[in-house]
Amino acid sequence: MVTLLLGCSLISLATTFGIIFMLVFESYGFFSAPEINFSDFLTGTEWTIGQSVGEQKYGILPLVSGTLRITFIAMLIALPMGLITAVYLSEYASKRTRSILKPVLEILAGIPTVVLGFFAISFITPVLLKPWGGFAPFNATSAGIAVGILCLPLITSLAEDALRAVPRSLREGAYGLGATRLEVTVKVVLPAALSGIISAFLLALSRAIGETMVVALAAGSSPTLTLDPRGTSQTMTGFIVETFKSESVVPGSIGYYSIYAVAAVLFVITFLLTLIGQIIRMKYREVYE
Amino acid sequence: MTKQTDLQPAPADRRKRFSSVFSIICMLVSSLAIVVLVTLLISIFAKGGNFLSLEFLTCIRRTTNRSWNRHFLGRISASQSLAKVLPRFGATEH
Repeated sequence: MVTLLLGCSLISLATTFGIIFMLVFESYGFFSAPEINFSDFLTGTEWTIGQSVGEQKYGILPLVSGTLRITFIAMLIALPMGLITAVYLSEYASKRTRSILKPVLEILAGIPTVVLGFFAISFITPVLLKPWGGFAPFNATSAGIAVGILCLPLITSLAEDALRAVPRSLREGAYGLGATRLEVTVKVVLPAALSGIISAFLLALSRAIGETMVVALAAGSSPTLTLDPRGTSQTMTGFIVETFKSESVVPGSIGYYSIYAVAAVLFVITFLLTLIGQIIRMKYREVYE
Repeated sequence: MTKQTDLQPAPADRRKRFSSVFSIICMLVSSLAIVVLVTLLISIFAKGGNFLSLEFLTCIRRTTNRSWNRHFLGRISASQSLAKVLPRFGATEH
């Protein structure tokens, strides 16, 4: 039995190393090309893969900016909403309310991302954003809101678990001292569950950065280096999807290898976020007997 | 003396009021999840409800296949093809 479990663990380990090896190996094909300069790749402000060979520019910043813009909008929605919902479910909600809210959140979590992408272009953009004016048909805000909806159940579920893990004795002690429910929540429960809440935030952040289908549908397909959330943008995942499908990019070409280079950058970003999450969790971890 | 006055806790009724206002805010924010889900379902059924029929659900041949899309839309990106297809669903701006 132990051997079987060890084997299963080794399979997941081997898969991870296999992915890393594939990314490094294929990315090498991109970075070893004579027309590619590593510093230009990291600092370049233009990404023009569709142009003719001489005019192609591989600066990843527009793709990173598109990814971060959409992630920022998503987190602006998902973090406060998710945390407040988790606080409500953990500290305030009655059994009856919980029995309504929890299934709703579970259904939201189970909605396929392609449906959310479609919801973004068929409802969020024309109904919610169009009246404000200035929004492109495919824009970062619409995709960001949809990704935010996607991350909401994840944050709520993980943050609620962290809040509920706080021992009851801490709450009772605070109530015994005459604290109100708000004071108990803000001054006792939230600080005690901080490591779990931060982990939830970082996990949702990684999920938003890696989200593909919603951004491929709703954000557009032009990589632009701008802060304007109303304009079209392309994320790293969106670029990977569109380029993989494109017939103009043939295997072995720089365009083909650029997919892996972008994927490698995406991997590094999410890996760093996971690492930061681990460090924060260890630093703020509270142990109760 | 002033320091002691600053350290005085807020009156109990004010603290209780803050607490109940916060609980209402929490409830309203939480109910947004329900609003989002209901809006999503209404939006989907308003757009695609007309297509739901016994024939649609039991049909074994799909006519809107890739060659059909290629014939009408050409080789374009996912978002571009949606921009062409969406007007059929009433999303006029695309």
